[in-house]
Amino acid sequence: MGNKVITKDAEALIGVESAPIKTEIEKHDIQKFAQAIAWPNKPNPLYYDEEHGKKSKYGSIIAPPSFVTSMKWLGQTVERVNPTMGKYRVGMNGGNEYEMYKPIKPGDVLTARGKLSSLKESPRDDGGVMLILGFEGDFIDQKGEKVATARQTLLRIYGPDQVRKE
Amino acid sequence: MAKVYFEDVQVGQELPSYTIKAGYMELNRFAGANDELIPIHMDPDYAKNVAKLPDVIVMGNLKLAYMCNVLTNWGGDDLWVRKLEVSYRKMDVVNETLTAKAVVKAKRTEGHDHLVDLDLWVENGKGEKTAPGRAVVALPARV
Repeated sequence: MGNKVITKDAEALIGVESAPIKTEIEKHDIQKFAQAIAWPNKPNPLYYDEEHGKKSKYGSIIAPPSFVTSMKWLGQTVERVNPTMGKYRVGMNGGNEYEMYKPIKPGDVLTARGKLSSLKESPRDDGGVMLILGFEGDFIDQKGEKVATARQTLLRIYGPDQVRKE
Repeated sequence: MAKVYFEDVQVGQELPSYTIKAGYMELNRFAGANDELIPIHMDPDYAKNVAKLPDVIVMGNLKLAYMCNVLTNWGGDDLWVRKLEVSYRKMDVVNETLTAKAVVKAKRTEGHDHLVDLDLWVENGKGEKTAPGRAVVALPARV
């Protein structure tokens, strides 16, 4: 059985990296994130209190573990993939995966490149299709060292009227 | 002195959980901090009348952050979260009482790193796991 949603144009984008997306990490970005994830409790001082940060083994405050969720890396790639396949009924966040290799600190300049990493479709009982898109992005710091990898799964439901006929 | 050492961790051990009522304040603060300014998370009018939801819904990314709080509140400054994996199975509407939990699944040494594998998740007020996930953390060792 052939694909009903995935196209050759879409498959050709697998592994193709986006243009670099540069973000300078400001102290206040980290502190605001720390405050939001702790609210209404006090933020964790390792992510918020500069004195505490200085005394820590990192020498400064660092970003909380899931800070990568605030980084932009995916949009450009999704926009490039979208026109290669037809309209869908509803989209969902299927899940995330993050790997953290070194701490993110105020003043770091991170460069991200996103790419489509996988495409899969499975038939649905109503004759439509569930499309599973995998994306991946690496974050590289100003020293050229890899800081984190993000992986994102997006799910898209195509109605029976939105898929190619056999 | 570290808060938790690798040697003291037991497989099957449950970490202290983190409970929070995720209200409008929590969602809006996180929307700003995470640059996640999406109407279904911020605008009750839009959520109810356009998206046909009961109200605005909690961001998956915020649930993930609450799971991380379980890890970092437990392990302190010397714990390093190396890997996080999460899937979003069910929506949580604003003002839901969420509890993030974690349990130790395995311990292992990789080179010089002392790693702990955990299952972690967020459950709603009914005890349903709305966002199950997994984590790998590195801890300091005594030796």
